[in-house]
Amino acid sequence: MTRADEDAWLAQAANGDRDAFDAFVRSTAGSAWTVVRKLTADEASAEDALQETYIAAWRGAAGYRGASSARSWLYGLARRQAARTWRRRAGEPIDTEPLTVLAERAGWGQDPEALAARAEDRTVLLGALAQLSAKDQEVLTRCDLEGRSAAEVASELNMKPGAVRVRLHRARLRLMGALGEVGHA
Amino acid sequence: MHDLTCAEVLEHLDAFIEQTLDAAVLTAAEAHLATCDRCRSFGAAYGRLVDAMRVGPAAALDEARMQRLQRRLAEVE
Repeated sequence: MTRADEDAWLAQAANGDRDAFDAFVRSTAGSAWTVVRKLTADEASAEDALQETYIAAWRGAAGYRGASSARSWLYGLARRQAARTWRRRAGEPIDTEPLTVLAERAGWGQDPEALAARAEDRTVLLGALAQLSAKDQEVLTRCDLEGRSAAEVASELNMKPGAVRVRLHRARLRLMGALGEVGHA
Repeated sequence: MHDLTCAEVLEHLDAFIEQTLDAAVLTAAEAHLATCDRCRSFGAAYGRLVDAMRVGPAAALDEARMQRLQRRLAEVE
C-alpha cells in the first residue's frame, strides 16, 4: 500500500465506493489513532475522536481535492475531532506582546515549576491548550504534541520555519500561563 | 559576546531547550543561567513543559479497537 493508493481510495470513496473506503481505513487507522491519542486526555475520548474522524471522512470524502495527500487531509479531520474533546475559549492573542509579559503570566519570577508540573497531567494540559487561540493550538499541536519539525509544519502552514519557531515559543509561554488557570476558573 | 539580560535569555529560551543556539550565544546564556535564579527556574519549567507535551501516551491501535471502528462505520450510510 502506498500513499498514492490511499489517495486513490479516498477519491473512489467520494463516489460511494465502500470497499475503497474500507481499504483506506485499514491503511490509515493506525496512524490516525496515533494522532488522536496524542491530542486527547484518555483512550475513551481518543476512540470517540477516531470513529468521528472516519465518519467525517466518509461523509466528506468529496471535499478531498488532492491538494495534499489523503493522509494529511485525514489528519486534519482527526485534529478537529480530537480538539472537540477539549473546552474551547475564543480570542486571538496579541502577537506583539513582549515575551516578558507572557513569561510573567507563565510564572517567571514566581513559581513556574508548579505550573510546568501541572502539564504532566494530560487532562490539565489539554484543558489549558483549549483556552488558547486556534493559531496557538495549531502550532503546539503539530510541533510539540505530534513531535514534528518546524520545517515540516512550516510547509503545511505556508509559513517560514523561523516564523513557526517564533509562534511556537510564544504559544508555549501562553500555554504555561493557561496552566495556572485550568480548574481555577 | 555581551552579557545577556533576562529578556534576551527569555527570547533565546526555545533555541536553548532545542540545543540550536550558536556557540557564542549558548555560552552567554549558560553564564546568565548560572547566576540568575529566576531565569534558571523558568528555563527548567519551560523545558519540563516541552517534555510533557512531547512524551505523549503510547499509541498502538489494537485489533479490538479496529473492529469497533469498523462496526461503527458499518452503521453509517
